[in-house]
Amino acid sequence: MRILLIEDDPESTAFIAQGLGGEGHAIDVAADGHAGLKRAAEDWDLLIVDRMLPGLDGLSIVRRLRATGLQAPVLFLTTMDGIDDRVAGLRAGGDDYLVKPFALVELAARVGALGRRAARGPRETVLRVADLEIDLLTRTASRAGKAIDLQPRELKLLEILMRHAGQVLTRAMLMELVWDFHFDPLTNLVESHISRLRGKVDRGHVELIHTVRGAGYCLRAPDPVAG
Amino acid sequence: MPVSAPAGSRRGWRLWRTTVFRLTLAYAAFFALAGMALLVVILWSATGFMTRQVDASIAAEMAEVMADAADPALHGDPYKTVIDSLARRSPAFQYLLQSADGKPLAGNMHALRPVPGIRLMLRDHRLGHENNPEPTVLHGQGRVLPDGRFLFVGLNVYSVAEMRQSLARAFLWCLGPILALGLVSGFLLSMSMARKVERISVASRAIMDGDLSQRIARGGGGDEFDHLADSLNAMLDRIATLMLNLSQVTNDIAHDLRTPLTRLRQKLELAERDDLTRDALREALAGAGGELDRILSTFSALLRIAQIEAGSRRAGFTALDLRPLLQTLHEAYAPVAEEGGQTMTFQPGPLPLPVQGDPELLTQLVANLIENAITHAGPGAALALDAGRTGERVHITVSDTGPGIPAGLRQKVLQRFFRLESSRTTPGNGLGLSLVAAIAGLHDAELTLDDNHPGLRCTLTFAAAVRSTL
Repeated sequence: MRILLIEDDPESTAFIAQGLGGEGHAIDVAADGHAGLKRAAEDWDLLIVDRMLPGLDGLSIVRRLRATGLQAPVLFLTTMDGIDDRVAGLRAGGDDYLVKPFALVELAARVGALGRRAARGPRETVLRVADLEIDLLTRTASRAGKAIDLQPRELKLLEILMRHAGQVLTRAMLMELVWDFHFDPLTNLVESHISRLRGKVDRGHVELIHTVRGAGYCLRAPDPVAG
Repeated sequence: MPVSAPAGSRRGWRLWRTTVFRLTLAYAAFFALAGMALLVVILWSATGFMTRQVDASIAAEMAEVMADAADPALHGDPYKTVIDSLARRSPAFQYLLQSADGKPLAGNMHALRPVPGIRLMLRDHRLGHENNPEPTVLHGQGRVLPDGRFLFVGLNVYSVAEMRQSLARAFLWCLGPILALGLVSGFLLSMSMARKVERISVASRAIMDGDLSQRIARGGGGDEFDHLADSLNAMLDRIATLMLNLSQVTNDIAHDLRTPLTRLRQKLELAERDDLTRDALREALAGAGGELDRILSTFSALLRIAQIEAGSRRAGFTALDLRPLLQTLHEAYAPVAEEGGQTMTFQPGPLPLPVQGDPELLTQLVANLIENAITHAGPGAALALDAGRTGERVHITVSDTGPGIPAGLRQKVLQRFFRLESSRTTPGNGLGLSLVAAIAGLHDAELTLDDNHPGLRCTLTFAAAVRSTL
């Protein structure tokens, strides 16, 4: 992906550029608000915007870009973790909000998810990964043609995983996307639900839901060579 | 310590500057002036009255003399006869009849200048006054007779003058004590005021010098100074509590962060060893990262609590129904409880649960209570999430059948970093319930911890909601 990073702190810039570069993304950097606004008009797959910038703040940049009709997804990256700040960021036209300090896996996962979202066409009503299938209109799921009995929230979790098939979803992302929870749980909330879902989806079949150590979970079709 | 002048001179100097003393001085001066004015008025009216009386009796006597002298039965010089007889009979009055050339003809007086009309004489004109020590002030009336002779009738009014003088003297004598009393009482009053104020300022200086346990002593009379002292002491109590809280929190932060920081250091030190395999190195670094995450999450929890306690979030409150929110939380946490061998029930009751609040914070509040129950109640415990409405008051209850919290510690667990000894081994930073308390406070909701016989029951009761459309 071609990513524009609008960030004034050189250390953060180096860290992000190196981290995301390793994932195969091409990173360009703008070090202040005005340069960021100017360069954002170019063709990018994703913008990563710091909120506090010299010249023009991140919220204003994104507001202006959205006013001119720019569609590229925007990820806010900021130390501002006030309770209202995330809402303000999303309202300004951001697609995701990540508070510093963050883990690189978290950033990489969110970047991956956002890029994927942008690339996708109109919303499908049937999602398919290998022999797993869910129909979003009838709210039913099946594996290898056999119906799976899922609770509404389990279906939601599975839908999220399938929409991001092949992508790593961190626990925090799943908390937000499935339950709209914006806090760090002390209990293994996500693990419990994933393990239940695995019991219903993967038992007796080739494993589709994988644990990515130190990062999160990923639903993907089995490798044809290994499978 | 502030530099101070010798106490005595400073106090004396300050006395003049006290408001009370100045007021007293002003009042003393005012009363003295008022007294003087009163004296003048009294003297003036009393003297006037007496003078009029004297004038009247002299006029009456003169008229009597004239009437007697006009008696046709009298032989010789009628005036001389009348005066001679009157001078003998009425020694109180002074009489004089003198010839046109100024020679006394009759009466008990020496010669006078023959001026007609009312006159006041300080020189003693009485006959034989040399042998009479009684001082005199003569008030009288003169008249020139048709034959050119001069007639005078007068009265010694020395007693009137004397009364006037003694009156004035008495007033002047009183003026001294009035002023003196004013000064003394002003002095005493300002001393007592100064002492009361000094008590407050001594205590304040001691507190400024670092002794926060100092309190302002009450005089005991229940006066306005006691009232002031009570208010100031209450303020000092509050400040002391806050300071204690602050220093305790600072202490706790330092302590609580020292453990993960120490472990972090150990892990990094281990990672530096040369004989480490690549996998072992990676594991050590991952462990270090985990410790750092703990530290960071502690910080963000602290920041969040501080932010919520600042209360600015209240602007974003909306009217909401708690039932779907609780439903989601139950769905999310029931599997977690079951995995730990616990059960979790949810009874929302039949009614909607309207409250004014922030859905994200309320979700976090209930999630914290549930997680608390899951982590501390132990395997086999029965967890219950209940909600309901009594009148207009909405309440949420999270209860478990675990070991509970001893009654004496239930308030303490709401403090930052406070952890029961038994929970040291379970995950958590000791901030969960502090956050719950902060969010409850923001929503004007009352958080109570009770015994669930056995276990812990946390109840959150919202203040009666404003009537909403929910």
